Amino acid sequence: MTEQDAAFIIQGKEFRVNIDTSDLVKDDIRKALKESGDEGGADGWTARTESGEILDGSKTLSEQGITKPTKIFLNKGPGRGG
Amino acid sequence: MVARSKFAAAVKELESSQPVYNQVWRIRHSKYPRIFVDVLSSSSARSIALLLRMENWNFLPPMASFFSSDLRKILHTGDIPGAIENPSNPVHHIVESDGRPAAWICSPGFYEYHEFYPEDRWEKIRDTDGGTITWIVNRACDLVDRRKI
Repeated sequence: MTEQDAAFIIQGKEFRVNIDTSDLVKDDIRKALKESGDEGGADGWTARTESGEILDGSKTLSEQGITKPTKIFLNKGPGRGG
Repeated sequence: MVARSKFAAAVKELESSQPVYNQVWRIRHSKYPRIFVDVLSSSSARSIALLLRMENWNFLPPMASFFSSDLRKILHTGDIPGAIENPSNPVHHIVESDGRPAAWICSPGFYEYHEFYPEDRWEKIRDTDGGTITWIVNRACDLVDRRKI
């Protein structure tokens, strides 16, 4: 269990949120959205690392190899496509 | 006149959000009605260019295409294997069909998508977060596997 400040990027703005790398990513997303003023849930949001890898919301950051302070990009999914 | 002033505001918005995405994309050039954005590789110094054509912003969403970094070649899905969405994916968001000359983005916020799915009206997202130019550029970048550029 490690607490750290993560930078969540939502719509061009950075929100620093204290997270625990043993929490599920979807809980981190919810926390970051709340910090940004969005009271909705994590559903439909995708979290990515700076290199573009999608983070699995049902796993923790540590399980996905992220143990140091990081930047996480939140965006809504791309829709139904063609 | 309105489109030009809205275009200028969109460029300003992108310039202001650019610093937090400095490892993901950067504006290369903008002049009404076009914005070129470099989509940066996460594994090398390479990039590809995203062209947004915004003649009628934001009455209409932008038309988008991808170009090689030197802007000489419009990109097709197979030009950078796996980077411009793998064509074997069951759901395609970057596609080639409908008589268009190259890859186009089939996702909300892009002209071609709303033309393809007219029931999903642009007007419904135009004035929301999903209708901002920052959101649209990031959506395009998310569809590209930047590790494979």
